[in-house]
Amino acid sequence: MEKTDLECIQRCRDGHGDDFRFLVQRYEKPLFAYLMCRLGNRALAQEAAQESLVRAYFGLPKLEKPESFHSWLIGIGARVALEFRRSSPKSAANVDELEFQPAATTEESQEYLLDEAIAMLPDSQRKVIMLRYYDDLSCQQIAERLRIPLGTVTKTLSRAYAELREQLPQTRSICAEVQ
Amino acid sequence: MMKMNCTEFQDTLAAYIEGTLDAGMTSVCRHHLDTCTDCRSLEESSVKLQQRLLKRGRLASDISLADSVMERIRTQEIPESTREPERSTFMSKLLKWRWSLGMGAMATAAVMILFAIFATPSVQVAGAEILARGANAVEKLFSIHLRGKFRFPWVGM
Repeated sequence: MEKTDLECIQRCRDGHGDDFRFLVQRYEKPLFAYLMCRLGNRALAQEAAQESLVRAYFGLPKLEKPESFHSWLIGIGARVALEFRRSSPKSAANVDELEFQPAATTEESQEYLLDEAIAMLPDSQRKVIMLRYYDDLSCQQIAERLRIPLGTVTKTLSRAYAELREQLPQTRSICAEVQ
Repeated sequence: MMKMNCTEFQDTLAAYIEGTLDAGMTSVCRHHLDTCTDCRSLEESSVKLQQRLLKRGRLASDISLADSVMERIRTQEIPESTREPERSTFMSKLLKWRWSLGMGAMATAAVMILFAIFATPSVQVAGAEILARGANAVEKLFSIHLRGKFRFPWVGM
């Protein structure tokens, strides 16, 4: 049985730091995708993701709402991305060096808002979205993994889509708050 | 053919997009989409959203940071970089001096109230009246207390 975020965080706080590995494995992909959208450079995004996760580990005692670990981590990522941009503006700003080209349209150039919206989803919806898109599992595999009926998975996914559709035009950037 | 309303369709939307429905339900969904423009637009935007999510997943598909992160955590004591830098902003200064500011505000308010009481004649009159009434009330209570003492001397012994 997989450990929940709360269990992992509690174990880390009790001195079992190795349990942070589960949280890293669970959130490294969405965090990396988010930072990739913010920084546009794969190596830089990877470095920023590492830095964010290390900061998250040492910041765990200060985390007030362990159930909001994902959005808290994305918030740390936003701060780190900002620092990386400031410390190496050329690497992030030089369009020729970008591996992930920011799109021309406003909707796509603010692609990172999607990750922020995912982080804000209710736990059950977020879990299904992450398993489906970051772990690349089919709905059937998700149902088996979570031991719930297939219909529940697809219904949860439908509701997550509805929530994201509703949230996305209004999502206020976590980074904007940091700035 | 079985009919479907919009709420039912919206709950089935992901299953329809993911192709997990059987042929019968798929054709019911298609029929609903043919007749409902709102749901058709929802379906189109959900497909776009799904494409964005798939792209996002592919972007991070080969990322594995667990070993390097755990290694850094193990070898690093709390490094300088992980400490939140003390930024001197207006809000941080305000937070730092909150007690002094609060006490100062209270003292100022007290001075202003005292000033209003002693400097304004009408307030002085009202204040004197209140004090006189208070004194009367205390006097009455005291006399009641004394009468009680004389009548019931055992009370309070």
